[in-house]
Amino acid sequence: MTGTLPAGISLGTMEAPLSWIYSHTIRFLGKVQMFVQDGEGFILIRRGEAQAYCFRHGGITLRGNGAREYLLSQDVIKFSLCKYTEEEFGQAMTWCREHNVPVHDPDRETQDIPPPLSPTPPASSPSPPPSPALETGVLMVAECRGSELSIISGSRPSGLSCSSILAAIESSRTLADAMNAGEFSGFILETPDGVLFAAPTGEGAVCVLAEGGIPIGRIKSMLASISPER
Amino acid sequence: MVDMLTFALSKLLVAGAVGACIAGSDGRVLGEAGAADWEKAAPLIPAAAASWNCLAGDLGSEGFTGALIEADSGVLIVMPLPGDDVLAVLLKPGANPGRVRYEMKKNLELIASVI
Repeated sequence: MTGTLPAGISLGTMEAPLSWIYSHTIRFLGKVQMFVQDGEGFILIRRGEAQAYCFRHGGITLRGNGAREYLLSQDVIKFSLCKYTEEEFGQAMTWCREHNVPVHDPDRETQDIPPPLSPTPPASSPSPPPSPALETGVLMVAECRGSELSIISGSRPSGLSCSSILAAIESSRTLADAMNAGEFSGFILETPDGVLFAAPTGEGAVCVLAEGGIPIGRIKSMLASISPER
Repeated sequence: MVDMLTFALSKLLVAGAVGACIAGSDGRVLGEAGAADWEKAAPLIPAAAASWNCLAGDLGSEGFTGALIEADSGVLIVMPLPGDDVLAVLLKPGANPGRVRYEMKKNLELIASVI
């Protein structure tokens, strides 16, 4: 997915938690290219400050906070550090804007940027695995394509099927139409055991299963950041 | 004169909620308060509730305890009542769903008792 970003100068490949990257890129300008299972993505870092996140797995692209939260959920990430010149970094930021990847640019503040990460102070020993706090309560992130339920992260409840999710989406959409509520964007289903958030996409749906009590706003922002690849 | 059911439903018209309704298991409107028009939606609610219960079953639960439907011109919050009746509240854009949901849960027993 980073093929159209400047290649930069590769400083090598290694594996570490995301927190290690934050604490060891204080003087780094460039792209951190990520590989998690079958997915691939990148973070643009300007001297310790992450300025853009993007991650793709199958047909799903996570951008901004969604990508950051997914990467934080991984204990260890395989990555390559690719050093940029200022010009290359500018080209990469332009690429992000053109591809709807939220960017944090202090010189061009906009409302859709993710909050910048505060880099962790440099550690003298390897950093511990990242805190799971951002992902606490999220049990599954998945996508329905036709009848196939593709798990992006977490584990699938044994009985869960795309047909039930899509049927519930259709019922909800019909109800919204009958109330003249405008264009349907998704629904949240509460059960005694948890909460399922589902939103239609062009080819099916994306959904997030979480424990009850999780802040709805956080899940909604996660859902909003999941979009089918165009 | 306002009947008990309308009174109970009107307690839900807070924080941007514009209408509340109880749809029976046969899709009829058993009671309503506020300005929303439920005539088209009420007959669809039992089928929607069935699909939510089916999905809840897939997730390992006996049934759904609530559903929130989002659209660009409004939000619909639905909760099951005893006897397969369903409570539904329509919110305008920018309303506070958390507050309305809280009022629905708080008044669920009262509403069920006056149907």
